[in-house]
Amino acid sequence: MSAGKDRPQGKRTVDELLRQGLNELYGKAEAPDRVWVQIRQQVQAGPSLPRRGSRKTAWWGRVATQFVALTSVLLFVFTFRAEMVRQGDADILTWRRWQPVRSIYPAGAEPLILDAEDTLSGHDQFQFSRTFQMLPAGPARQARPVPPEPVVVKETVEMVDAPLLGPQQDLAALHPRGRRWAKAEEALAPSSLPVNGSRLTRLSH
Amino acid sequence: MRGCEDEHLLAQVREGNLQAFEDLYSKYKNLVYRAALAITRDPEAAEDILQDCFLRLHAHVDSLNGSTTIGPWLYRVTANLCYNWLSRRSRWELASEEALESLRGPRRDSPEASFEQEELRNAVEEVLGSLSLNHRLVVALFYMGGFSLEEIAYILDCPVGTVKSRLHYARRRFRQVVCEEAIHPLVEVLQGVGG
Repeated sequence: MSAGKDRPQGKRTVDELLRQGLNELYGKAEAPDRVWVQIRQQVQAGPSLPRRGSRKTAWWGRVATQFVALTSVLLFVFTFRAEMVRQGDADILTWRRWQPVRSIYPAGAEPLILDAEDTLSGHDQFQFSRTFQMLPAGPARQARPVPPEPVVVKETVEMVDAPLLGPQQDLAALHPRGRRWAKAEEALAPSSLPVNGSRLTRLSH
Repeated sequence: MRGCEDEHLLAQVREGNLQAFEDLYSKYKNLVYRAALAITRDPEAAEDILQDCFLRLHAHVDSLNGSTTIGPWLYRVTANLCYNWLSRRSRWELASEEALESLRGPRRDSPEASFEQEELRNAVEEVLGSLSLNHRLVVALFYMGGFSLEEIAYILDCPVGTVKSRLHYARRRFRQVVCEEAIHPLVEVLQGVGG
C-alpha cells in the first residue's frame, strides 16, 4: 500500500476522531430554557429596555469616561502650569518692587552716613571685633586672612553694578555698609599700605 | 425545502409573529449554543451569545432577503459575537471543570469504549484549548456545524485557503497531542490506518 493512498485514509480518520470528540464534548449540550424567556421578554418589551446580563458598556459611556479622565488630567496640568506662571509673576513683581529700594540713593544725593558702631548688628560687631583682633597679628596670621563675609561681597558687587550711581563717585563711600568697612579697614590698615589694596577696591574691579 | 421553511418563518417574524420566531429559535438554538460553547468553552458566555444572536436576528429580520440562508447568517453573527466576547475579556480564562464536566455525555457500558472516549475527549479538549479563536471557529463550524469550506469562508469572511490552512493546523495539532500524550487507543487508530 503506497503512502499516497494511506494519507487520505489517515486524514479521514483524524477528521472522524475530531468530529467524534467534539460531539462527545459539546454535541449533547442543550440551550437552557431561560434564554428564550429572556429573549421573549426583551422582544415584547421593545429594544429600548436594557438587555439582561449585557456586559457591554455603552459606547457613549466609555467615551464619556475617557473624556472626563482626559479633562481631569488636562485641568490638573494647566492649573499647575498657571500656578507656576503666577508664582513667577510674583517673583518678578517682588524683584521689580525691590528695584526702587536702591533708588533711595540717587546719583548726586548726599548719602546718609552713619558711624560703624551705630549700624552694626550683633553679628557684624562680632565680625568687626574679630577682624580687628586678627589683622594686626603677625605674618603667620596674615597668611590666613579672615574669610570674607558673603553677604558683604554680594551686596557690594550689586551696588557697583547699580546703574543709578555715577562713575566718578566713591562706591564704597556711598553705601553705608561699604563706608563702614572702608572706615574699618582704613583704621586697621598700616599707614604704609596703600588703600587701593583693600578688599572693597578689589571687589569693585 | 429547509430553506423554504425558514423563509416562511422569517416572513411571519417580519409580520410580528412571535410564535414563528420561537420556532426559528427552537430550530437553531442548540446549533448556535453548541458552536458558541465549543468556541468559548464558557457556558455563560455561550448563553449570552445565543441570546444576543437571536435578538440581532429579530432586530435585522427586515434586512434578511429571500436569498439569505439563515443558518450561515446565524453562524456569522455567532462568530462576530465570539470575537466581541474575546475582546471584552482581558485574558483567556478557561471555564470551570465542573461546568464542562456537566456538558459531557454519559459513559458507555463497555469499559474499553468508555476509556477510549474519555481519552478522545481529553485530547480534543486539549487541542481546542491550545488553538486560537480563529482556528477554533473553523474547527467548530467544520466538525460540528457541518459546513463546507466555502460556507465557512463566507461565515468568517476570509478566503477558502485560509480555512483550509486552519483546518490543516488543527489536524496537525491533534496528531501532536495524541502522539505526545501517548494516548494508546488513538495512536493505534491513527497508526493502524495511516501508517
